[in-house]
Amino acid sequence: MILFRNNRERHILYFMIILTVSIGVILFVYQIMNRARYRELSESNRVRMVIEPAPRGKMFSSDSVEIASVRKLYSLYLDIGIVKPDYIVLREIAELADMSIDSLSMLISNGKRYGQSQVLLKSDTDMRTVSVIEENSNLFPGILIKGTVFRYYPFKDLYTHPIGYVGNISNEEYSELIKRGYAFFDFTGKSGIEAHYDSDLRGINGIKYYEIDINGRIIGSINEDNAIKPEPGNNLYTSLNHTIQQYCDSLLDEYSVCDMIIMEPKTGRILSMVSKPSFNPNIFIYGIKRDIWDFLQRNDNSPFINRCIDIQKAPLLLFRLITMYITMDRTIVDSNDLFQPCTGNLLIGNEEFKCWDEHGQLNMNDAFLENCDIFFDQLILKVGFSEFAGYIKEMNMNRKTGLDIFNESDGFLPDIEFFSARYGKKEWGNAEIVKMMSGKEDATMTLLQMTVLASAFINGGIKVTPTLIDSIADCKGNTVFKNESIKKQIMYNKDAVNNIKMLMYQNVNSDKSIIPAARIENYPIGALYSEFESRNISINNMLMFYPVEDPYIIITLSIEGMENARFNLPHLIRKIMYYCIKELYEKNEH
Amino acid sequence: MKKMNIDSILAVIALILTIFALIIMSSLNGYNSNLLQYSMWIAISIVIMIFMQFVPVKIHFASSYILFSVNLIVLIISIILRPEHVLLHQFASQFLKLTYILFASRYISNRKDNINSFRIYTPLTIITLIIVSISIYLKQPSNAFLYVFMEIILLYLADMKTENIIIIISIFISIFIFSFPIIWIFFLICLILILYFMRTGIIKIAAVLFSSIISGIISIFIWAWETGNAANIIEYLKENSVNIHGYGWNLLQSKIAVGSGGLIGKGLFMGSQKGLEMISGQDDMYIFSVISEETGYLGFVIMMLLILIILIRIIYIYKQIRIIYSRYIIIGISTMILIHFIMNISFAIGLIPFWDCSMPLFSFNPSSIMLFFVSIGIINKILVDKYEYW
Repeated sequence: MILFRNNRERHILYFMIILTVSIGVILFVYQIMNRARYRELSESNRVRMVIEPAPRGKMFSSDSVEIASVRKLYSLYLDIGIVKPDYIVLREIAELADMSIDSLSMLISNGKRYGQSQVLLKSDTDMRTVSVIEENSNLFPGILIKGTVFRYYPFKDLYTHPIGYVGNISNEEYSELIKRGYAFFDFTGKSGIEAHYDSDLRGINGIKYYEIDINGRIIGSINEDNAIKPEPGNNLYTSLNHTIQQYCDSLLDEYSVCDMIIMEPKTGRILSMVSKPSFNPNIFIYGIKRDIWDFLQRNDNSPFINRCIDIQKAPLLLFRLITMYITMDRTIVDSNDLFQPCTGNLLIGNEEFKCWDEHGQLNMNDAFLENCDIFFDQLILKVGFSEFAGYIKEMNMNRKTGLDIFNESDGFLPDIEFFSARYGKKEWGNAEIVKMMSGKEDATMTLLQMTVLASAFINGGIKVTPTLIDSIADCKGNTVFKNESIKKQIMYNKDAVNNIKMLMYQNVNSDKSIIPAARIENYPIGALYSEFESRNISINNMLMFYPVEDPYIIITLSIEGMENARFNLPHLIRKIMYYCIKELYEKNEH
Repeated sequence: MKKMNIDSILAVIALILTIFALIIMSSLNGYNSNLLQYSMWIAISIVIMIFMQFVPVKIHFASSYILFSVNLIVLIISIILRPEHVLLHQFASQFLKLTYILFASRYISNRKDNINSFRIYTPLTIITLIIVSISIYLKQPSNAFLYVFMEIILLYLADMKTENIIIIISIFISIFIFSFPIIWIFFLICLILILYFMRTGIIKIAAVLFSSIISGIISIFIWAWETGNAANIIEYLKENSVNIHGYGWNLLQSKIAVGSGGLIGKGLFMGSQKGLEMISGQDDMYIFSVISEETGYLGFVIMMLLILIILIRIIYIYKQIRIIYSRYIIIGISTMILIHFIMNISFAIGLIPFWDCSMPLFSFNPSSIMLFFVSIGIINKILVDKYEYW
């Protein structure tokens, strides 16, 4: 018989037949022999598994104000297992949910794709709609009303940048997040603390089993023993001070583009962080209107960017401080050494460098106090690029500061390859080096990096890692994490560091000071002021610390396009400093 | 233009299967599962299938290496571009199975006389190892299994010695069991004993051991998923299959759907498990739960019989096909289709945890539909031109 011939192709056929028959036998056991059992299970299969979202953890300011909260809202859900793809039904549901039919269809198809039985239609439903649906539930099959707890930011745009915001999980994110136990309707941190501490804040979703009728409509919850209760997320206690944040925000309200950080230089705790323009993060939870979204997208100074950590600025005077430190540390020149007198301009390479005044013969300290560019251009040439780059790298100042927040940017310090690529090999010379080392071109730092570097100068050469979180506690109040400040000595020559700190003090208080408006009577403060012009917009930066002997507060502020900034900016920062001293320290002492 | 011939049995079976698939899919028609889109892809695939009747087998033969290489490059590009190009990735990874069969058939048919030579089968095994590694890396273990299976089937057809087949299988087994050290060592000892009693040379045994160790080491890198190595993945799947909050829920519901179907099913469009959407993925991976619930055991028997008839018909006219390359191709393709069906059914009733093997034709995945029709097109072309020789 043909089937028994010993051919290899027939062996394959037998193998396939055996495989198919084996599956057939197993299926026979399932479908024919155990049919009654499975039929019974199928008929009594009236249990639907529904994920119960966990309430997100809250955030508190250091003065115990709830800055990110949760709020119970009545949300409209659609049971996609029940609703039929009928145009009229869809139109009614879309009207109810205040959305277009296209977006409704998209929502349903996404929910189906990811195996969700229900999709969220509208998170903040007014009581009138809720009562209409409750009373006429037969007219709205598949529509469910649930009281769900959502994230709520009570101070709207006040904390948008430091604490960030939450939003729906996008389709691209979901394939990754599903592995970490996220459900499709979960919210996830998109920026700031919300994103960085998302795993602490989100809690653990619960599971509830509901009995459904023959049409798939939920009758009530069953199987309570197997249900898993949602576990709320941990609460975060931030270092931000609500009173100061509010005061600073109101003072800076008139400036469209500005950023400010107030930090404790000894611990790295950030007391206030303001970045403008800002936006109300609640829009991502309770629905965003098309025109607002378009406006936010089209805005040149994007409100989504936290300018304190993400906008690169020219480091200017901070690089001058580093040059001075290297000079003192390596004793390259004595502070009384004299250079070529300042006549208002100086030729380096083929380029003419200018100074804002004719200062004449100066030593280093005077040159710093009188802000003489020509003196420092000559000093830069003496220090040299490789020495400078070596110090910057050792201080690790061109890297992220390590702030516990999402999306922090690196700074940028050019190297020889960068110069060669930009100007051509051996086409660059002293002029380019001077421009870079004086912090005017190529090199950049974020405001936060500047704050950390300035803190090291006033803090005996110790660099601290900035932080926004003091501690994390679970929902029962047990502390699960306490933040310890991380310190690192980056400048070892204490005399040089002290000298520079005293120069910053004199910078405000000496007769030659260009920023007398920053002085606060009876309060010894130090400050630095710099101005810069980029794309015809003046950018004014200022830092201030108090007290000079042992500083416990530092403020850095950067404002774009400020009028009469040399007077207004010191005046503004002085007001903030005075408020902080009164609010934070003198109030406590009393 | 040459007249287009059609093998009547194949055409009838393909037609019945298509109608059956359309009925099942119309039962799933909804928001996500769009019957119109499904029918459109079937129409496109049929046009391509008809077009393939005008492509002589010698063109496949001449271009098989190029097709395989291009397909592999496209797959690698799509891995780099993912997730922006999901469709491209799906097509590239589905069609790699087909182009691999074309490639391996040509390679083996050209070297049939020396197939037992170490220098002949090693390059093919290395290439298979590469695509198996890519498949596992892409979390497609069923594809990886299929490549190994196809290589073994084709080498077996080419009269390779059993001893050599054992050697090749052992290399691939190491990939799957290296992370269970005790089992792996036990397996190697058994392998050595078997080869020793088959009077295999010491050098060959040493080479087998060496290559098993190498493939074991490779496995460490390719199984590096989030859940860890193969052992962890199996542990994870084991835990999950009983965890009713996760994968176990779908499996349980799928088993209930299959079991409750009985002999003739609950009737088309009447599946309660389907209607209440108890299973997520019932329009793709768990499609068999719908087929089984609505058409019962009878549906399964008819479906599998249709596929087996294709295979039986191929085996019966196998000797009449004059080109060896063509013989390998049709056996390769038809077993591939059958194995696809068997793996998907096994997954739906929890026999295997291979979650990436969609059922040919019975899926809303366009690449699955097209792969089926292109395969049928190639089989038909070979069957009608069986006497042709070049």
